[in-house]
Amino acid sequence: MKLQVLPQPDIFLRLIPSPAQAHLLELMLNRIFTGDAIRHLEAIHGKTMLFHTPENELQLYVRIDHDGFHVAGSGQSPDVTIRGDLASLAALCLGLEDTDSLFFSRRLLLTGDTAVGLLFKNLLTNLDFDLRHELEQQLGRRATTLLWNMATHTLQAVETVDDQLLKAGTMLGGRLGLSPASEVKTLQAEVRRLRNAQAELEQRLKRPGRRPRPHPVSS
Amino acid sequence: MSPDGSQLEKPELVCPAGNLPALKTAVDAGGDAVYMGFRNASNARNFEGLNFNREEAEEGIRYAHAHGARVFVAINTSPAPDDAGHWTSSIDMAAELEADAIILSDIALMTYAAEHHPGLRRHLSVQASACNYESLNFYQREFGIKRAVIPRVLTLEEIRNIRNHVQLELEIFVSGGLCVMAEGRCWLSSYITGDSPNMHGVCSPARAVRFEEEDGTLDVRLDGILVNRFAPGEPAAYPTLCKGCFEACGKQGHVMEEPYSLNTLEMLPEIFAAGVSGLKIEGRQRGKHYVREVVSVLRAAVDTCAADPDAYTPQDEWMARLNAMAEGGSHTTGAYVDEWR
Repeated sequence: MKLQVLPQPDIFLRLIPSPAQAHLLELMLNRIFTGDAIRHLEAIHGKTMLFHTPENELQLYVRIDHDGFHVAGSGQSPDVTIRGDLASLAALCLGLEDTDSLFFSRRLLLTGDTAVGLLFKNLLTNLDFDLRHELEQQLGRRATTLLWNMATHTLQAVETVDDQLLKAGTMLGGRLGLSPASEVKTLQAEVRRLRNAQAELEQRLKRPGRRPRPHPVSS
Repeated sequence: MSPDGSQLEKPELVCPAGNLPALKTAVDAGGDAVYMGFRNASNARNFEGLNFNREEAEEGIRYAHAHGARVFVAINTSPAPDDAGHWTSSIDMAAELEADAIILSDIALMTYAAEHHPGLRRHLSVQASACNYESLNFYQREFGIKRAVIPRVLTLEEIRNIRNHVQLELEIFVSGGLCVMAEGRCWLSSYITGDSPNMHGVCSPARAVRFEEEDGTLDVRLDGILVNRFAPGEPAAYPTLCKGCFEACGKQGHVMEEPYSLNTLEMLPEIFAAGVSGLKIEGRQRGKHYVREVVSVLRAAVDTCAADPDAYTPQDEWMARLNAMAEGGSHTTGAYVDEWR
């Protein structure tokens, strides 16, 4: 089953121009990884890693130096390229899933200097990065709880209601201590609702003129 | 209950710790013991960015002990011909940090440990490739070995027979990646890359590995030599020569080793009955997510089996969770049953 951090992240990517994506990511990384974490990554200072998501043609060149992360939308011959869907790249960088499993299931591919890529992966896993704690530091507990609950529901979501996915969703529900069948059905309904809302939003974005036209005022 | 009616002893769960977060996760998930290595060539998982420096090891051992878990330190490669410094200093450090045992494969290091740190418990590594009871009794008699990790080449029946002829404890692998079944004697990686797990602690060093994908087909090369090719969507495996796909005798396939993970959930009652003391989980190269999943599944399975071996059956959910983490996306019972190879 494919898990996604966001229901359809590419819609957000299409809305944000590439240089702005790079700038946002750089800001985010440097807010999350500070001081000790940057020093911990010292062995790959000066190396450039290209993160590439083919499905939405996102390319981000990430370099780590003593003063933090530098992210650009373009660059020259990276030391290593890490390719995958957005959710897998996020899972790698934020330590949300087992990276070897992502590789075995072909969701992540590493080309170029494998030693740099392996070092990056192992240094990240050694950080003991606690996403929830970091978010709480940045956003406060209330906002984090809200975001976390949304993300948890989305992560548990299944894409269609066929038997196989229902089984997988039941398993996940069980692991999270939820009463499987009813919770999974609730989650599935939630996913359908999110998808409909997203489809509607996409339709609106395709129309010329994004603001609703005012009604003509009769004189 | 055992076949003779006596109560079966619950073996301890020995869990992998490639770094400090993984160690803490293993302890929190219910590991009875963890095994780890220092950040040098003295252990068989000498990969970039993995393992423990002194401070991390100190914190890890303190954490494990505070939570009632034991820590074994793997110093299980052979010293370089001209310098054993990393190896002997690693033994000294394990003793200073009050590790519960060291896992050794080289007789020079066993001698050093016995002479300099007689109170430090010594285990025999799988890398020593001791596969018969005469050999195990020799290690116990000459070097005071208390426990031996059994190579993954024996059937459960053969292990049970060994158990009947030795006084030391036995530890067997129950989960995780498999080797080419010649642990401590495998030079395949060395033929291509110059580095082997026996001397350098690394099989297929990352500097020699290159992945290339075209139209969904993934090629894996070691120092430029094609060792594996995965079709679009086919689950991938580690880039080791033993799990490569080759043509031999007119057939193409995994000539030496199939890229599957060991999974013994279905055999736990028989493993208990064989009288082993330790159940080892492979995977020091993996992160804390893998450790959390595998340790918690094995913890649940071992406890369930210990409570009532006769009624024990592995849950589908346990199997699914282990398969989701498995190399090649599938599992095998390895050499423990006769059907293997």
